[in-house]
Amino acid sequence: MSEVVRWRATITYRKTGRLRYLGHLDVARAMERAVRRAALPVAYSEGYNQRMRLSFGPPLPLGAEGEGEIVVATLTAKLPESEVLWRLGAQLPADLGVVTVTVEPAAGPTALNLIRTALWRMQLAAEPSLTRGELAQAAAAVMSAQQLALRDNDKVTDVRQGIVYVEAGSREAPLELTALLGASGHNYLSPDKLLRLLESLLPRPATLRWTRLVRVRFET
Amino acid sequence: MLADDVLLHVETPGRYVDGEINAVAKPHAKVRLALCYPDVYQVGMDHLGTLILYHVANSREEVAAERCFAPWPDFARALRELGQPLATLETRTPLRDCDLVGFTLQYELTYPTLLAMLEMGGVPARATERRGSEPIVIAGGPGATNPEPLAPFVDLFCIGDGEELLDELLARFEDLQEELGPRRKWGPKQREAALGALAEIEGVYWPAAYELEEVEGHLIPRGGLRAKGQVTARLVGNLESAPFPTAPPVPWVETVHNRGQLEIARGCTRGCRFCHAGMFYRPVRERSPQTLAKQAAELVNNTGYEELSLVALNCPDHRHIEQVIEAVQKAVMGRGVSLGLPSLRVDSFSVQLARKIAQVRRGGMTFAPEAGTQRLRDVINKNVTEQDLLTAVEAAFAAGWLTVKLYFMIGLPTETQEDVAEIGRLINHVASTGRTALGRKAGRMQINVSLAAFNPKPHTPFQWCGQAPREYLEEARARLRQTVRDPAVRLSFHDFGQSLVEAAISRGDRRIGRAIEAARRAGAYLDAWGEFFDLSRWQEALSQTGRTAQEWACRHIPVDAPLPWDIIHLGVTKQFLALEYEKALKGQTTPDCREGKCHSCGVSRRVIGCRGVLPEVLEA
Repeated sequence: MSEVVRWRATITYRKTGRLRYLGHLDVARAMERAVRRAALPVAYSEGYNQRMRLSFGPPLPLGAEGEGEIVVATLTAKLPESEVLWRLGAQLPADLGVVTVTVEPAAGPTALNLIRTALWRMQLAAEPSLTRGELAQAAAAVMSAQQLALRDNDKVTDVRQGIVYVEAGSREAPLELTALLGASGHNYLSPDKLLRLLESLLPRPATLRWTRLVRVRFET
Repeated sequence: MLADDVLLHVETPGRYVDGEINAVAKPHAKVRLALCYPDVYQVGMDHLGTLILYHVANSREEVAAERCFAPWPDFARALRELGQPLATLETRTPLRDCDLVGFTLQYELTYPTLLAMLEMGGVPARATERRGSEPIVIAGGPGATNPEPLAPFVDLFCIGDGEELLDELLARFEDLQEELGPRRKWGPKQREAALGALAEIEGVYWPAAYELEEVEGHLIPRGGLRAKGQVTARLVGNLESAPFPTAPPVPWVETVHNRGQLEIARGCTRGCRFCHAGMFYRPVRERSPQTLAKQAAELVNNTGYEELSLVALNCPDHRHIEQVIEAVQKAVMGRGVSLGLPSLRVDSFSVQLARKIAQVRRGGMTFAPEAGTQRLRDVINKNVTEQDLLTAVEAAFAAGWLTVKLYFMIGLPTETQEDVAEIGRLINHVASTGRTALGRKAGRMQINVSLAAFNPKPHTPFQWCGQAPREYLEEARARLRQTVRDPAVRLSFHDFGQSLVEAAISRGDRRIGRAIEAARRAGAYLDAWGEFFDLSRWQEALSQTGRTAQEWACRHIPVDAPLPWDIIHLGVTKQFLALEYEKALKGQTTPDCREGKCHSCGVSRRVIGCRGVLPEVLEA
């Protein structure tokens, strides 16, 4: 098989509004169909099951929003970034809108390989209700700990290394939380696990759940 | 407005999210039509008829056609708890605020869901309980060819092809809003006038206008002051010029089939005697390779679908099927799109076709011999021999398929124990043929056999026959399970209880409406889903009609007795159906009229050149 020059489009997009209720596979399919409608010169895998060469970042929990989600498309021809942005953007609703596009030769690690952390913002509901101070106390306990064990089914793991930082917001209602969490393949921590951990460190027993969850961006 | 939070706590919330690509929202339209599918989104969004009507209705400037599907029980409960009525997807208009609420009748077991959707949408289910200002409820599709079971709930039935009929109905409705004032302000008089005016349209059946007469145990709709007599089904003559949706809404969530659809032909004249579609959609009408290529390109450009499916009752029967495949393949070349060809007849030509298009992706190959012996296949007029089947299976395995699916029916008219035993022998024969053909790959062979009870349908040559009793079907199932022990074969039997209810409803009269209502009251909802179907609930409900489920489903009707669905005329005459029934009992076959002489089914009285390439429908 002859070597062809390939290009790589790294696309960041939003997943907001009511489209936050779409699953990861639904979004992947919608994106693939948008790329086909836009008639971008995208590469396909070889073999019987031809698949469009698109790679996605880690899934968002169902119901969570994303402001800087990433998809990497392999292209068979070079296109100006503005043209990819324009053509693909025209095929997507605002709630799945394209934010940025970079096009470069397909060599070396992709943006997805370089992801180390994700910045999350969330609004919380506590049962029974908590004060901002109590939440901040639990967040501070996380930050000062060297190790933090979390029980998941029968497995107990140390999740401290998955937390770069976590801090409570300034409002009392709704309670807010900002966290920079591991988002790479070998060091991933979900916001739900963070909440389970915080529950165990609260000054009095309460359950926490997010009512709004936003993955603001990935960081390298 | 529904609190979005609810969606965090229900299954597959994406199916309740509007704004799909190509969805049409017209918040300020003068006429709002809800196109309802009485099952969940993932089933309803695959229904081509709904997509066609969505396109037809929205092509009218003043009309907004909006979709509505049955919510899964968790979401239905949430709506109820919040006091929210069931609403359309596009503008979230409650059904009670739509002008027209339309349902497609694809399957009898969805009928209680239809009632439930009306209730959830704030529309009284009984037509007589609706006030003048409330929506007009219409229904169409194959189930409407026996409208009687749903007659108490539906104001107007639309019989036959819907493209032209719905357009005319909407045009008339627009005029009526001028003549009678806005629908919201109608009283009983205006409503009556509107129903009467709409019922004048050819193909529209207004059940409330008819008087019922009991004849030989059936309630037969007869004349009435405002009744127009027999209603003839509408027929679109030329598919080439018929409207077709090349920009249908693209679901966000995964639907059952989840692909673009290209209707290459409508109708089938092979004349299988059990087949409702084969009588309902006559004559055969085809689209040309050129038109299909154009539509395929548009469909991919507008939807981005990764798979297109050619749709027809029997794709290989298209006169130019090879050119169709070639033209469509060429039109979507290089776009990463695969083609699908469902519904195959049993021959090696079909396998060659499937092989041609399955270069991208391959599933199993499906064949439907329907019966185990040649005698019985002749009775049902399935003109296929055992050799045809074995050759086709061999060809499929030789072409690289590893999975084959077979369809059979049990309890067919005149069926004997030997016929059933022969199904088992035939399956075993297919398995051994497959092993030989596959050689060292034989270990990976899989034969999925689907068996269902024969279900007599109105407007078919077997409309007079009863379904086989439950005990007979269960015994046949047990015997087949004993005979077929090949580890590569998987037998799956359609639920006999569901078949029983389907048969009771499909040939029922207006009394069945009471049973549907009673079943709904007892909780029937989404009954096509095995997990929600409750046979005892239906038996109880049906017995309120004065007959048991078994008595309705299994009854034989004398050929000369008037039938509740005689009020509907499909083009095929009752004399033809009776003659076909008579020939069936003698084991005589009737060949496809497109390959030989005309059998005078009746369609030629309405359609010039009905066996030709460009049939032309005569004005009524």
